[in-house]
Amino acid sequence: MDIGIIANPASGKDIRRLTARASVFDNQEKSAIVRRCIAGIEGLCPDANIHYYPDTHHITQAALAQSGLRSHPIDGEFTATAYDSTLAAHHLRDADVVISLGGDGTNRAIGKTLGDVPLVALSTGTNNAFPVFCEATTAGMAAALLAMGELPLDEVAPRTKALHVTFENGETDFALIDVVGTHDVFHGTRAILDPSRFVFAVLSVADPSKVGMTAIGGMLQVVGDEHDFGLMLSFPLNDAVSSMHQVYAPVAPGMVRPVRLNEFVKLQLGQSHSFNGATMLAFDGERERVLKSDESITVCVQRDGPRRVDVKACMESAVNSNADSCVGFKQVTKYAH
Amino acid sequence: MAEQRELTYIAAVAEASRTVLLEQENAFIAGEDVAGAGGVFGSYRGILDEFGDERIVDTPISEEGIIGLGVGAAATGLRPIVDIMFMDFMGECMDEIANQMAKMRYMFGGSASLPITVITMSGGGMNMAAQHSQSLEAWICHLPGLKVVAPSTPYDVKGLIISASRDDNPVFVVLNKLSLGNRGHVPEESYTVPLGEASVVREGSDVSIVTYSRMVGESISAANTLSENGIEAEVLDLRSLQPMDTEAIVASVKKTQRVVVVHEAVRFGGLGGEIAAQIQEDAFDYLDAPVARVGAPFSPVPFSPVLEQAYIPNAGRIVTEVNELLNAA
Amino acid sequence: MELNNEALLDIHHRMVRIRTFETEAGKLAEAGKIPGALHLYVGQEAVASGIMAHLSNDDWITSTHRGHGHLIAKGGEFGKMFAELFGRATGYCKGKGGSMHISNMDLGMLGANGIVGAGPPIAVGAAFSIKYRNVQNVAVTFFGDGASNEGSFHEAANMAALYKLPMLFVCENNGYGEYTPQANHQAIVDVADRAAGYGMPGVVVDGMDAVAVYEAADAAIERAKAGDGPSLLECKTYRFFDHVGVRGMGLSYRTDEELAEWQKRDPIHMFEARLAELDVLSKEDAVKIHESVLADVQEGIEFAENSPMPDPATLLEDVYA
Repeated sequence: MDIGIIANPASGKDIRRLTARASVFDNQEKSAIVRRCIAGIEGLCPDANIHYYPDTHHITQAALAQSGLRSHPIDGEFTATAYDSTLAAHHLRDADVVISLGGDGTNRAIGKTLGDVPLVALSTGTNNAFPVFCEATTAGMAAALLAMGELPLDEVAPRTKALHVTFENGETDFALIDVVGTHDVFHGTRAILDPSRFVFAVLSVADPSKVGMTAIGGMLQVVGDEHDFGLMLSFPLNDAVSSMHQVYAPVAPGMVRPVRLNEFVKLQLGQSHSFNGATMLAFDGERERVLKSDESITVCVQRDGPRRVDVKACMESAVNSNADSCVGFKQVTKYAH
Repeated sequence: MAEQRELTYIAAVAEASRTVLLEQENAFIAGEDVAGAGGVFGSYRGILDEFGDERIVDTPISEEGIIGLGVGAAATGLRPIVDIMFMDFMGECMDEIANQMAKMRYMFGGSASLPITVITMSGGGMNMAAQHSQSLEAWICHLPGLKVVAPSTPYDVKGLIISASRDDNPVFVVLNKLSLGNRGHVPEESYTVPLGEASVVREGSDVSIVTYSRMVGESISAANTLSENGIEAEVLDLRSLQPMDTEAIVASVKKTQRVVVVHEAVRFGGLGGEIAAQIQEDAFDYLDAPVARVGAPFSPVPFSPVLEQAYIPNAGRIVTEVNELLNAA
Repeated sequence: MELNNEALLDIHHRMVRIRTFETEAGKLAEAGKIPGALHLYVGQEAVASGIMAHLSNDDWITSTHRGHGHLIAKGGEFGKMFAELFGRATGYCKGKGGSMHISNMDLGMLGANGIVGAGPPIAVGAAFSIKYRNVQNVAVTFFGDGASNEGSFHEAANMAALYKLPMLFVCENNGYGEYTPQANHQAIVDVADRAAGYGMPGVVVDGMDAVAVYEAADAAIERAKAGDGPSLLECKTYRFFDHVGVRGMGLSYRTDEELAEWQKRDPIHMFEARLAELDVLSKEDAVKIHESVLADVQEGIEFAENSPMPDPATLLEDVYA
């Protein structure tokens, strides 16, 4: 039973602590979250092998230090950049389950290479449309149950949607929740904050209960994980006198702003749409790549995002199941009775 | 003659502080327990009610931060009065005192002014033991860029605090906690006692007792005792320690030819050594005897009242020292 | 503040001025022409420039022993700076401060500082002063990862947050406290994490990216001026030269490979590449700016070299006001 852990030390520290009121996740807290996960795993699955990303902040190492689980640092050429999560996920393609700590950005980096492995995505980021807020101990137990097998994978960890971006030169990129074009010209602090600079957006999900672009779209058209389509938004020029729609949306944690939009259109799975012109492309909330005036991209929604684990569904399924592999769990529940 | 207005030593601190805040709109007071509590010794009683919490600020127990606050505020145009509750706490803020406050003007080629007043409390006699009883004025006097005063009377307390607050340099006002209840004449109006000016508080012709702070009172008692035996001691209250009124010291030595320097601080390395050296440099030919020194022995301030009493210089020891000096001559 | 072309070129100019001054100062130091120790700012230019682009002479800063860059970014003149490094009477401090105490009150620069961590409490005082006078300015304290272990930083952070002072704590985390790597001097990696303990926000900023620093400073200054109190910006950066001088004392505490990795992210090169892409500054024009700044630096050196030494009679001047 092989369980992967990728904790991103850089998540939850960007400028949105100043401009908005985003949560602060210091690295002690992240380490405590991993420690709670491990407690959940240890309780059910003491034979598990933990394969972890050896981050420079020693988040996971510190959490594993007091654990009896067998643990193995992932052997890769890590560079203390976002690419580390992608590389670590690549090494975990054969794991039974992977636990991530981060925000949308972290899970996007992981999602690029993780393939079909179920992902327990714990939120320690800023905009958290993809990962979930849940108790890490239980999340660890859910991961252990998954690693032991026989939970109905498609029910407790269905595949999410993903956005695929193709550049003219054939390069591709990938986002989980949103691809946004803005009028920014620098990467700067990476966060996208100013609605007056938005040009277009493509969303895999549009959820009015979240924050960021997904919430803006969600105010006009709800698009759930289960829907086989995404949503395209277009925004008026900054000085345009009229626009078709205006919504009040949480553009970042602690920051609600009026946002004007021209139109919103569904984009069916597999259907491509192209965009061109000088914009800054932001993937899952982070300014990432410059699109020059003579360049264009196509964006397409596919159902090939990571299998995101529904912790509640896992636990309920285990309780209701008679599977022998859940003996450990049942002992725990029996004891509780 | 109308009865003279009297205040206690500590009430003079409060009155001086109030005067400064009234006279200087850029003056404010900051320190531990100064606002809501009015100072643990009552130094600032009533200031918060009269001036509000912009002019008197309670700080965290962060002496380095407090001095830094004063330095930064003074360098940028304010005239802070900062309170370091016990002088013993200077260890917590010595970098901001020694390396920043004292040197900033010089290091900056004269472009910065630091009109800051530091009020602090020295001295033993209250069974506060080794970390709340010291007299560390020599530490500060050794640092070029700082001024130091150590008043002995309520009158001087008020006058020297007002002078300190008007000076464009950092001035330490070293108060004495056993003197807090002493009463003395204090005019209601604003007045100053000039920095760097000593005061002859008792005229005499046989011996000079050069002293400051609470030892002025002990020296006067000693002089009164000596007088019963026909010895007339002159008592010189230095009031300012940096700059020091060497001229007044020399003038007294010329008059009496014998000197005892008295301070509560530890004798070794204390200001007595500096004063003795200055007398030797400027009035050697007038001396009929070596300069004598009375100070605390070379030990931390003890706790037990019996031990502390044995430790702190007093009138009796001053009398003994004067008698020995006169007998030796 | 809108980051228009003028603002971009202004940030660029500040960075080039620092780089050129420091490079030439390093050469002069190695040639034995500057007495004492120099701690050079090369590699960290984006931090001082991105912050200072927001500040006026009425905003106060405290600096560090690596302080030339801060003074230059705040508007320091080369001639008076070199004169100070050379110990001349025409220097900013009349030759009494030197590299480690270089300052200029008129520019709002409360001094480089030879004592690690001494600046934050002084900046608290400057911020207090701004708040007391009810003016729309800020105080910024620059300090390193090493200084974040000094009690003075913690006392200052607590007081600034307590009083909601208009202040920025800017940690230039260059990975080393003198010669000791961060991992050997603190158990955390992000100094920004310390902010939470004082009740202020702390963010991590790419200190090699002038625009990232500029944006973060913009947000922090807006907060400060709105009365929301201080912020901590941790700028991850690197010093391309040694702790002291250029090649330093040849101590083996970091590797050439590590230096080379960071030099790939040279803040000036990266910024110029993007400015060229945006047609804000062509490569040719950038070269011209470097040449013109170098000429200014050389003029400054000439001014300093031709300046008189201080008269020993001035030794005791300015001890007191």
